[in-house]
Amino acid sequence: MCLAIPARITELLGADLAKVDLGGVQKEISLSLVDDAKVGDYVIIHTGFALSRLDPEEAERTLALFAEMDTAIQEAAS
Amino acid sequence: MDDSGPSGGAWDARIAVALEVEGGRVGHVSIDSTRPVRASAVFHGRPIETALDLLPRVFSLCGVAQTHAGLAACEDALGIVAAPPQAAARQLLLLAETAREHHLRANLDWPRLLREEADVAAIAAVGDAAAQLGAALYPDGPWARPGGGRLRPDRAAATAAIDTLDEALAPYRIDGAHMDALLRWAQSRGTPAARLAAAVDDDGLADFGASPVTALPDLDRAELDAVLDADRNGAFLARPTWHGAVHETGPAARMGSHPLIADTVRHTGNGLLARLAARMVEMTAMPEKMREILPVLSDHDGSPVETTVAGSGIGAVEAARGRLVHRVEVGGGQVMRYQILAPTEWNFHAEGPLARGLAGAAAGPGLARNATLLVNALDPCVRCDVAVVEPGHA
Repeated sequence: MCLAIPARITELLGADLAKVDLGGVQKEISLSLVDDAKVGDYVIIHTGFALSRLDPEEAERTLALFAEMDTAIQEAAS
Repeated sequence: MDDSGPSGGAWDARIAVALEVEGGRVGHVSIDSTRPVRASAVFHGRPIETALDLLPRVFSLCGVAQTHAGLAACEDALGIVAAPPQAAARQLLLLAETAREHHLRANLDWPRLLREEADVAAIAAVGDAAAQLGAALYPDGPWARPGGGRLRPDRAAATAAIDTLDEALAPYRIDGAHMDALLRWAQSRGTPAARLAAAVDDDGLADFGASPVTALPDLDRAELDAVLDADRNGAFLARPTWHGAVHETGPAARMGSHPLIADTVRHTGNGLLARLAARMVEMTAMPEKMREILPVLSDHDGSPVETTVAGSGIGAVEAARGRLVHRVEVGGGQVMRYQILAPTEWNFHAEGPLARGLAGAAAGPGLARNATLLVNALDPCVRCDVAVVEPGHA
């Protein structure tokens, strides 16, 4: 299962590069595969590239789901 | 730039491979996965349509395959068979996603192994063609509805999208039924895929990673349903076997009878070269397979469905990475239980094709890189790190 965790763009660095926040961890990625991405947008990342852009509302809902998933997994493990 | 994320739970899905060297060769191969194979429990208690809407958001890289398998499982549980035009449209979307995923490997992941830049324009062209195809089939709404969505195929637009895809994939086509043709294509070095195949051959790695693990056979539906039903603690989902045997799934397993792949396996086994070639052969065959499906398309509003019946269902599709199985239990319009058996768990099983392919490999400075090539050839759906453990450091 290729879980697709949305990462939030925190800074545009020029030359199609950007800093993103992925669950609290900062990373540098390429935006060359998505159009018109801006700070605050969420993207799905694979091997250092943003593959698709999500609208923020959809991304927030997905992140909430991942948080629930964490809880479900921990409950299953305990 | 890397894919490392925060640790813990669903965030921390990764596989760690440790190669323990004994007497100049790889002895034990340990594969440690933190993939949350029971993450689909998050769908429990949700309405069926909500779960189907969530699937492509949670698994956006192979979202069509996941949604297709989920939809098939729900329909199976509800006692519905998809109408032929709906089944054809779904299959078209799945084949387009498989082509796009293989193309991403060849243009994003493989250039990285060669220390080349990714071919961004080529990736965008294939992604656009896949998106155009979706718009040409279901222009005004979701396709993932039990019984089918509102299908209004625009045949000309679908044909144009397939033609665009075909054009983008043409440089990867290997013409011929013998390994010689593969080697000529590799030595042309026209694409990152050809250059990687050439590098593999030049470095004497064509047979690297060959394993005796056989292709995953058809799984009897009733038997699979019973096995998954009994898997209360997720042990089968994490380490699947069938009739006691470990199997391989994915392009190399699917393309084993293709003349070019069969000939390559005859010469070099199912090692790196055959695996790279299988992915390219499967990818470049997609446009023709898609054209063959087009005549089945027609306008269809979806079959009427009684969604409140109770039952269990299985949905299985061939995703880019291999066989993807969903099992669902529904009742009163809600998902009561949801299980996903993913291809990575077969291929990265402790005794699966990666482990068996690496056991006995010669130790040396190239071992970690060669093992990483095999990991890429088997294509896990999460980050996978390889470490070589020398004697005395275990």
